[in-house]
Amino acid sequence: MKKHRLKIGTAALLMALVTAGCGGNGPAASPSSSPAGSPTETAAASSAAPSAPVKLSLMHGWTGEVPMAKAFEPAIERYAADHPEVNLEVITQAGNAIKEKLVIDMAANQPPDVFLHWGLSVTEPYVKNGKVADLTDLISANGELAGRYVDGSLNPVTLGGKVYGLPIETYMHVFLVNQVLFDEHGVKVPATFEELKTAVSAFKGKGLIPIAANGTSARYLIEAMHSQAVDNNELMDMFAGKKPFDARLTDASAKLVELSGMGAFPKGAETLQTLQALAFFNEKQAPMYYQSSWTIGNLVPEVVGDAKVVPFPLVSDQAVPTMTAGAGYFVYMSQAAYENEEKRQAAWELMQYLAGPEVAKDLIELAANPSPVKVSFDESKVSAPFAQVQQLQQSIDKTFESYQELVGDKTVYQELANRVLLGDLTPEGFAEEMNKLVKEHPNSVLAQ
Amino acid sequence: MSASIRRWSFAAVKYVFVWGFAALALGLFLWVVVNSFKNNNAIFADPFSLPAKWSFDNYVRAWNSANISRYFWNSLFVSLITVAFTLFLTATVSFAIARFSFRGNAVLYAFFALGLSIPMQALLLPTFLKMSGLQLLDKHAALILVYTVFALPKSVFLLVAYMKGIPKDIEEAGIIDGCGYWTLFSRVILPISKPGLATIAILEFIGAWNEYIYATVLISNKSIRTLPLGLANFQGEYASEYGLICAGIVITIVPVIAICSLFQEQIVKGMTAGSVKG
Amino acid sequence: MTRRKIGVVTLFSLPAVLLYAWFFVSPIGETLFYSLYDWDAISPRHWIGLGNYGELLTDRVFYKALGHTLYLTALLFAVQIPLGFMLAYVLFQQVRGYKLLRAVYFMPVITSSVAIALIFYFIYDPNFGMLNTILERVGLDRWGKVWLSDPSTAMTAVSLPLVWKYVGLMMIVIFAGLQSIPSETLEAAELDGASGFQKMTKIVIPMISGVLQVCFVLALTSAFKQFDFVLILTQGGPIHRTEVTGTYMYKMGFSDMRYGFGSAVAAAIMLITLLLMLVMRLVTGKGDKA
Repeated sequence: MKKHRLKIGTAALLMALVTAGCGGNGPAASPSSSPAGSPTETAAASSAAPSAPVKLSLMHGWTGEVPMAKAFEPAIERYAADHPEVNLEVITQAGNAIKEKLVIDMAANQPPDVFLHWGLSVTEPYVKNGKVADLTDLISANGELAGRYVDGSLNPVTLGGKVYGLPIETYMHVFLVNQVLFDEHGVKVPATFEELKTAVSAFKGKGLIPIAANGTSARYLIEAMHSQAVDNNELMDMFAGKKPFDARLTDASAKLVELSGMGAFPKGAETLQTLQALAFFNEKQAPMYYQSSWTIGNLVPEVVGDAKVVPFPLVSDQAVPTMTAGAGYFVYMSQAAYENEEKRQAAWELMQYLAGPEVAKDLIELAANPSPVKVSFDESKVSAPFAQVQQLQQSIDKTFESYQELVGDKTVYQELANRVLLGDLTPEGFAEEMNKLVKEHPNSVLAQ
Repeated sequence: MSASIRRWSFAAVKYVFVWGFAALALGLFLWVVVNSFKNNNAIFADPFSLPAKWSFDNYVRAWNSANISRYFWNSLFVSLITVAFTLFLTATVSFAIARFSFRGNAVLYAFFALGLSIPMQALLLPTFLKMSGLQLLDKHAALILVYTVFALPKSVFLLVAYMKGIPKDIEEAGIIDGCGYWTLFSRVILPISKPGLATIAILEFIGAWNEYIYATVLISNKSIRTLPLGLANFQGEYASEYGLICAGIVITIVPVIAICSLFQEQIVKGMTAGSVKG
Repeated sequence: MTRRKIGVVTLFSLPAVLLYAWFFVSPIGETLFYSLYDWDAISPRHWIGLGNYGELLTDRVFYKALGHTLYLTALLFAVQIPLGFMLAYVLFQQVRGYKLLRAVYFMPVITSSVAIALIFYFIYDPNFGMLNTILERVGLDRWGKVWLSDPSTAMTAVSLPLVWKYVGLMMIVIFAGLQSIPSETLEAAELDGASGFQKMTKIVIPMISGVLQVCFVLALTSAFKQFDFVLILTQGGPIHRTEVTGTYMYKMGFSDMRYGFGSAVAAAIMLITLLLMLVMRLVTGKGDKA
């Protein structure tokens, strides 16, 4: 009988060890089980001095090597230090991993209280299922908030007249050239597509990689060449399914395939991540680069002086200089946090800070990341390419959003573009598939 | 004459084959080590050259930002508890199956053995949902439970085979002496089964240590992460800094290699003894 | 059986059976259950019966993934096990320094698959990876490829880390089997004038067939299990060129939020693995020899 107790004791010990080991930090957010009636009960309690700090979880992807981390992570630390009444738990998932992480969290019903994410093109399922808070009332309660942002920044997160996020990043697709390399090899900076092709073969001959690109860049190139050829209203009609994509899209994708066939891109471009592609430009092995403006913050000091932002070459005589730009990254609040009165206050304050002028200034000056916040910044602190991007943006009249924000299913669109780059889909097929895409997966933001 | 030449050439081929393979493996690892001392510039210029400047920058950065010591401890904790749990559960149930004949014996055995055919990753989705329902996400307990339970089919399969090989008379001698079943179990059967248990312990430790998929899905909090997860995330965060990643790889592998070399004999003995009996 | 014995058996089996039932058997049932629904884990489920399976039957990508997984299995059978065997056999004949060799081969087995995946990632890098750089240096530039993306090499490239990692394990298991062959048998064969090759095929292999069987089963299950290499190296892409059944299931669940369909994929994987193991059993015609 003594032995039985020994066995039970061993089992209990193991159990105890395991549960002790569970003492790591669990998710701070509680499951969204709070009934709708609770906000009023706790309102009285929170107006008095809070006895315990409010636990808030913040999830973002601006960590690691991305330039935004330089500005963002210190800004969060400052906020945490200045607000001892908030116990801030920060969860980071670099780059695109944050998408999967949010999927998991939403499925587990434990979303972070505040999180950064792309626009409705990605978050729509969550909004539609009531997992993301409607901020419209909070925004109108704060009079100056709406005026803080550049016109149109709230569109990608507005559904049925309700606003679900605050914009925190603007994207602009820019064409960068290494002027020194161009001069060294006696090549003219291209202003037309023909000149671009000339430049590509010239550099190829000298053993360089003409354009530092990856799959994403290839997609952006198609967009750049197509949007030049089509009027903005027509474009909107195409995405709304009222007009079909036509030979002009075929032409743009054919041009991409042509460039790829000429060896303009690094080997295995489709397998590279964006910053890996930029590395070629940084190491002066590629004289040209076309990507979203956030990457400018990652240009190394050795190449920043040589780099110049120029307008993207015009594809034809009728082409109109167009810049792909829009608000691309937003701060959201989970519905669970919204329904908890204490959390709602704390979360809303945090969001206004993150999407506010102080952080925006840092992002611009430290990370060369354009912001939708109308804020003035110290010109002397930003890199030359960044200043050039701002100037270029002001000089171009026609801007249009990136297509991935306008399709109903971003993943399908990205895969289609990949297939074109890899030769698995013809340019004609691409136009056909795009038409199918807008019909089968209409974009609800556009539909309003 | 020709016979001995043949023997020599055979031997030569053998040596070349066996050492060549080893050299290849070592060479790859060495290449990663050398690159860890270079920065991107040097790597892009010449991936094969020795660095002009041997810099420890990458290691300093990797160690600081990658939190490797924390992940190491987490992995060690999870693996050790998993092994302890697995051994306990396997030994008890295998004892029942192997040393007793009763009507449901074959069914009980099949219950576990059939699990061998289920690839553990197939249960990823329901396990995730279950763990989230139990609020065990982001806790080590989730991994420990998963690894232990998934180890059972293989372990029970091995240990039952092993225990069945123990002669009946040893047991009978014990019963005559008046041992209770627990004494029989702990004082007689278990010690004899040590090689089998050792095999299981080693296999499961390695399995838990290296497991990546479930760790990715069930754990996201930085302080709870295990080593494979830490390294993968590290790569995700610094994808374009090739030298830095190499440093991260070296830091993750070196402790493992050190431990392996120290315990080489025991590991091999443990693994071979168990599997031969089975 | 006495009441006391029943009590003992129950007591000893209970912990394992309960936990196993809760965390292993029940998820199997749940997989089958969820597979009958269309569900994205955030909105309510809705019943579609065998709809997911219907879709699976005509799913081009699934068949591609299945084909890739079978290819991986074939590689393990045809490369990993024979390689393990040859290494074990050579070591068995007491090559000098075999302890060091054994350590070197075993190292990949205990190293994290993430680290190994990253090492291979660097080897395969199309611009400065080891493979392409070597080819360039010896002037075989044209043979250089984007190993992880080129349709002719992608699947093989992504399988190699798995093949390589566990050669050491196969070697050790087979080595143990070789050690259990009575030396008299081998000596008798040599005296009879059997050549090295004959000795190997007619004597050694049959005598370790039990061990070899274990190896084949291990290889089969690890092919259908291990998709972390694919996940880290290529995520199944580009355009599903390296998709395996495991990554497809993972994507359906954690990228596309289609838990119902993902569960159907998982159920299909389980069924296929079961069938393959049955086939293997029948082909070798043996049960356990324990």
